[in-house]
Amino acid sequence: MMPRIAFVTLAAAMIVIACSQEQDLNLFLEKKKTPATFSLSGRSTATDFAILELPRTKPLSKTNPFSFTGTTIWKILATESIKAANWPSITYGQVPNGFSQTIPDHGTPPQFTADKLYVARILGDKDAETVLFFEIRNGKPVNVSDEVLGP
Amino acid sequence: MTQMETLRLILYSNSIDLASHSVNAVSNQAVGDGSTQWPRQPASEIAQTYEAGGRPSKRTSVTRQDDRDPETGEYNGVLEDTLTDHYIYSSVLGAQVVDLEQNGQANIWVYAGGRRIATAITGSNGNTTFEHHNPETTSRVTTNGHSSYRIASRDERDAQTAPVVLYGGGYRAANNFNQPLAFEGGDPSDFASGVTLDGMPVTRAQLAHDLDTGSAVGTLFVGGKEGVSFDFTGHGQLGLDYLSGVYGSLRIGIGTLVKDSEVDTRQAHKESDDIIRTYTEAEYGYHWEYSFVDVSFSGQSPQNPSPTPPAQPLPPNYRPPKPLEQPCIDRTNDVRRDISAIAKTLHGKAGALQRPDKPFPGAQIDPGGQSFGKVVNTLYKNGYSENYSLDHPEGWGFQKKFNDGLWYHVIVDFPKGTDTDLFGNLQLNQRAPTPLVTVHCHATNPNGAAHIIDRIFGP
Repeated sequence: MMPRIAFVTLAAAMIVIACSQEQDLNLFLEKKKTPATFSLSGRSTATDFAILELPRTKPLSKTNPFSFTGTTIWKILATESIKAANWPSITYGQVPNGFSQTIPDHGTPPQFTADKLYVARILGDKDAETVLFFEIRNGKPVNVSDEVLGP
Repeated sequence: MTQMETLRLILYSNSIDLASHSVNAVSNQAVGDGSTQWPRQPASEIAQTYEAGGRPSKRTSVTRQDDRDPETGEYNGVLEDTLTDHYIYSSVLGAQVVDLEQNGQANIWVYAGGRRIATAITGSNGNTTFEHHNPETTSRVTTNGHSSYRIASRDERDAQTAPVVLYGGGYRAANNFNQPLAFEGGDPSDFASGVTLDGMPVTRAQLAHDLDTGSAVGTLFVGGKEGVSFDFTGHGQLGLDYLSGVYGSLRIGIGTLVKDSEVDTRQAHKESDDIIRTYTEAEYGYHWEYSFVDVSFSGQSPQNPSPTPPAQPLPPNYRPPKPLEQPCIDRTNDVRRDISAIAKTLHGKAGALQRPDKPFPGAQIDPGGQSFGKVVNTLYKNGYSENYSLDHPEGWGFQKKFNDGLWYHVIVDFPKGTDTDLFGNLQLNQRAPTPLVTVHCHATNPNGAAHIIDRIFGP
């Protein structure tokens, strides 16, 4: 009986550990929407959404998507942790109900320009993080994550 | 299944007598060039006998080293040094006298309180030197005034009146080729019995001290690679006792949820790209498979416990073990290339990157409206196998090891509307599009023991 109890305990512990460790936090750029609008999915909780500005490289694959630095031009925080799938759509420059803007201190963030590379970043619990690279082409935001990943 | 693993601290093979004493220790390191004249033989051999009370009475250490011309590198042969120690015990404060016979000359080393307090050389030119250790500065003063020397009795242990400081710290005995190899500080009678640290025999007192300061950790090797580290900083003696089996053997159990292979019919999937099948619990029964890692440590429980010296700072060359998943963080070019290849294999595009600069970096892959079944078939056709973890209930898991040694865990999300029936069976329409595929890098097999242990015990 004792080994069986130990096994059940071990199994339960492993399931708990397993279910709590790997992230499920996905970020999408909604098509044909201007200004840029983002949606989330997944079971991880998230609190922090930001847009960063990076110098545009040619080709884009010269930017390392797994190790980069940029300037945060817009950042909003959820007042409480929300499961990613329950986040509202986030439109650049518009603060949804239940969120607060921390960057810039006040006012609207700068307009996107065609000569910059932008990163939308969502941070979640347990170090969950997802980044989406986009730029402005013909006045519209375009997801270029695949080009940044290369080649 | 039982798998024996060893700790890094075991580098000696020991023979044990009926009284559980270590009577012979042979190092795994060997010298000699393998020729008839200089055959391969252990770099160190230690034989020890015991008196009736169980305490060591005589110890013979043979150390060997390869001798090469320092300029030409020419092999000259093997240098051998034999050292015999006789242990003589005093009833005063447990002081012990060790008689070292080396090259026909007899040396006397006197130990008390776990520290060497005097040395002497016999013969016509003999002399005796007493050592007075300062535990604060770890320095020592030597004197020749042996005629006035006496070991303090129990009543004289007051620091103000005791003639000799018996409890010092930081002293390390010399560790040269022709000096007692098995002692690296501490009381030599607290014999090490196969306990080595980074290839050098070490006393239990010193090892407990190193564990206490964090300059030594116990490391479990899994598949020849560092797996679990046991950090006993601040609890050195407890850690040594734990690793020595004083509190029983150390066993790590690993359970893996495995689908019953005999009813897994998905391998027949290759016949069509869009075959429809409903997966049910009846088709895919699960069972747990357990394996165990027995952690062994060839030391014995302490026979002459010595006081642990005060903690000291980590040595400048100390390097903590690397996190298991570090390769996926460091090798970003390989990870980018591999994930890009996976996206192309699946006829998809990377839509976002996940966990940059963190363990398990990966990406979202937009499958472009392909059906769940088609993506699954593509993975099977390209050599991916199933992943059995429960980490991703949002989809079906697959994995593959790439030629660069990195593993990739691919999750094909279930189509929207996928649900379970009243009996808990998954109702899956393979023709429906999968909304998303995600992939992330693993440094080890995602189904393997090292990954599971790392997740349980890792940071």
